Amino acid sequence: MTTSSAGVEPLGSAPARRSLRRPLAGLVADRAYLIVTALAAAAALTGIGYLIWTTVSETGDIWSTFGVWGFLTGTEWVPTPADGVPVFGAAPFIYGTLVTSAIAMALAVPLAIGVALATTVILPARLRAPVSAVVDLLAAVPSVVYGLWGILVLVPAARPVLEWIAENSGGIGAFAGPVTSGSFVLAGLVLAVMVLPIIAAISREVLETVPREQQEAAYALGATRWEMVRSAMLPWSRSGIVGASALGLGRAVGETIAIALLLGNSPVIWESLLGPGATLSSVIALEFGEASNLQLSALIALSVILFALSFAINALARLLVGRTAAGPGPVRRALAGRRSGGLVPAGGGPAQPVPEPPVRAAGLPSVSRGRRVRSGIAEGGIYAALVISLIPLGLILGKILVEGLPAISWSFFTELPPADPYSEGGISSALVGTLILMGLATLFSAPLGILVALFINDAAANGGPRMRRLGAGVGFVIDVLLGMPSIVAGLIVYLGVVIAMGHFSALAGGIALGIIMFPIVVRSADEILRLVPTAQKEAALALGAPRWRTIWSVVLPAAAPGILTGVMLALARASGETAPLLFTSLSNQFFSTDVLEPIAALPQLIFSNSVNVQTPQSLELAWGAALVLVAVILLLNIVARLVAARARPSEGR
Amino acid sequence: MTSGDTSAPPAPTSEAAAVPPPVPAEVTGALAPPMRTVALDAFFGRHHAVQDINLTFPDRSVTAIIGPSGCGKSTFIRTLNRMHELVPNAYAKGEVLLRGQDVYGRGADPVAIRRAIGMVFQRPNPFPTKSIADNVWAGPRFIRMNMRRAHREELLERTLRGAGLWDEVKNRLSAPAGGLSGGQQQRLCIARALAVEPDVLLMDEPCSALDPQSTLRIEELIAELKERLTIVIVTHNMQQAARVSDFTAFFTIENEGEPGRLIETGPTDSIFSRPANPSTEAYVSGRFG
Repeated sequence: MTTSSAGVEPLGSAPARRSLRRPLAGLVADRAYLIVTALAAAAALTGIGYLIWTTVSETGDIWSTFGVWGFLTGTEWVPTPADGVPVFGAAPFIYGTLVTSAIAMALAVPLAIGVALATTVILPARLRAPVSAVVDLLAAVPSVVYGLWGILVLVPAARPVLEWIAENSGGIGAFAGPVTSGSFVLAGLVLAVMVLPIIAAISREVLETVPREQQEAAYALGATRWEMVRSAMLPWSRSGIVGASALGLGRAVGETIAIALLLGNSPVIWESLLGPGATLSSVIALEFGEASNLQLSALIALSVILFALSFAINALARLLVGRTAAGPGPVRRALAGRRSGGLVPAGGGPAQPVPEPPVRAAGLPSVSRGRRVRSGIAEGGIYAALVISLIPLGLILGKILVEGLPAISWSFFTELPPADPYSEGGISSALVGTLILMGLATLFSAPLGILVALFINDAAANGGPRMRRLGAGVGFVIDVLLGMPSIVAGLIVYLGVVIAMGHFSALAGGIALGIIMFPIVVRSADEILRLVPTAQKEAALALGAPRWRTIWSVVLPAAAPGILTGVMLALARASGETAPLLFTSLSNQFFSTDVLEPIAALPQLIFSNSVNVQTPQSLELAWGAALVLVAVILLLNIVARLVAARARPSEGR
Repeated sequence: MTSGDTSAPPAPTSEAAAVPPPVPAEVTGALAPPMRTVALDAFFGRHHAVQDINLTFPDRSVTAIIGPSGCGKSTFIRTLNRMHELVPNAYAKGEVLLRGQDVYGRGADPVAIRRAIGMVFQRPNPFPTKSIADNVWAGPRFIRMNMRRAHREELLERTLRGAGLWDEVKNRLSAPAGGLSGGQQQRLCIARALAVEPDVLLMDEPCSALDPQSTLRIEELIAELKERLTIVIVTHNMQQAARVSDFTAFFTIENEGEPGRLIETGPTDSIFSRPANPSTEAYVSGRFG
């Protein structure tokens, strides 16, 4: 490139007097590198910021009619009243979101920790990998499939149990009848089954980072396996497990489709948990199609509340955990300070009479019965959590295979979905549509996401203090976007793109999925870039390479497989999304590859063939489509893992 | 107790007198050596790591295990308290006799054995988020869940004094252990191991991650501890072996892929001044390894 001509001189000859200035071209290239990455960050953030602004500005009517506090606390939701004056209040939906999420978390978190512990230390070594693989697979199954299973399998199966509870509830309001087909309990159950593998998979990764030395430290002191888990593994990974749970909670709060299928749509507060309710996201999904004027504004306002709620959960989790893994967060620090307040002994006090150390009998020591029993009970509990978790998860996978496989045939892939629900058909348009949407989403998110990651990680981080603050600010916005519920992504694209274009389109769907993928790509790329050893960068810089060249020929090649893996995992996540598509790509009963027209997609096909209609033919189509969708996502995950595994040896950690 | 005196000379005598020696009298009878191995072999799956080790560790002494990299020193020391078998597919054959009883025998429980045979590792591994005090109490908490407070605090002071750390940390016992320096962390790990009152203390290259100053402190500490414990130390540093140990065992490996073997053992000064085996001589004189 622009290096000096020293390289061609024979070794050992006296060096010519060299200029110590940087060649102009290198200077310009470095400047250009900074500008390009900064522009990418600016473009992405203003684009998404514009969409969010459009959305927020649509809610003006609702705040001016009811007042912010009045809308937030309003318990009435009557869009089409007899007297013609509609009333809107958000409280029932906030309540519904919190209750379903609380039920889900109460069930899922302990079970998920049990599963994570089982797959890291408790299970026999050769069973850990296969069980982990199943959990990872389930973490990737799209929510529409969980919803499908919930409505077709769980609801009928749970009905007698719930009726028994209602009859024997003894007048406790929370468990009073009548039992309805959709209810808080059912929605919470399915949410739990859905977020369990997500929390378990991340917690396992966290537990695997506990260094061997820490485990050996506990074992060498004579800890049983459970005592080792409690004293070495759990304290080390506590913040990571809280983070995993917060992520699961974020998913539960934002979940739309499974809730819409299983909770009904009834804006209530403090009614029976066995009866129907509604959440922020479910009411948006169910009422958006027919809403207009003030109701539309109210629904959009609900989405703003939903976004704010997810943000609050993320912020709270971060506050509790603290950003670093090692030191305790502020809450723990405060607790620790109080607990050991009287611990420092007064210096010089009289020596306490000391009980003699236990006289060890000749012969080998043994472990006391109490400890054996306690450890046994704890490990039994972990096994129980694993079994309890794997039963519904196994049932779901089994059901998809049993119901889906008979639907699969050659014509299933080549034919269009039938026009009427009593005919058989195929999924050709939806499969192609999903692939087109995936391509568009990757196109919109991957290049921009990688440039933004470079900006945060390198360009801004190596700039002046103002630049560093800017980079940190961009990173914060990315974290906020990471917590954005997918239905909100759909809604902002509806208001900013679909309305502006005048019609639904594959393009809008691709943008919505791209917005979901974008922060995931940035964050994973950022983390991978951080793993590239500083020594490697410095080696290049010490040879006189300009910054951009170091990035291009040293950092990016080292990080490429990891970045690719991140993009594929983000794509796997986005490809199963249903809620955003309802507002953007809509659907298309014909075969279409036109990105400016509405387009069919697999998740949406599953949704409409199990909710709007339920005939044997439509259900077979839905199960078949679910199997294909899971297979596509599984394939993406496997390829992503292979890429990551191949790259690992060269990474050198 | 004795180490309290040496680490803090002006310590009140009443305190020292009140503390009984940690090793009960009837097991120090010095009849049976505290530990010896009989035909001990260690494996990692199919790989034969250490072969046919017969070694006796005399009571209240320091035995150094030296030898070139890869000769199985660390593997051997980890078989002594059954830490070796924590590695997937790893196992050991032969006997390790602790006061005459085989730790690999029927009914021997690895969890209980590790309490009697403590271990300090190459890299300091305190529990970083736990406080200094909680680190020391970690072992006792496993064994007897409800210690009285007075006893607990006495134990804390006694073991931290025993590890020569008390004066440096007595004002921040509730601070996280992650904040200590590397040398302090290692002495905390020694205190943590002492708190369960082991008969034998295994040290796997305890100074290899430390600076010379901290190394010196640990070596002084070893000299104090051998008054009441039997110590086995693996070291790469021959000066260290010569300085701290009473007995030395030389391990080596003849060819790549073969198991490590015990070549020669004896009093440290004779191993270093008059080695019987030529390869021991080559190693201690720095000609290989």
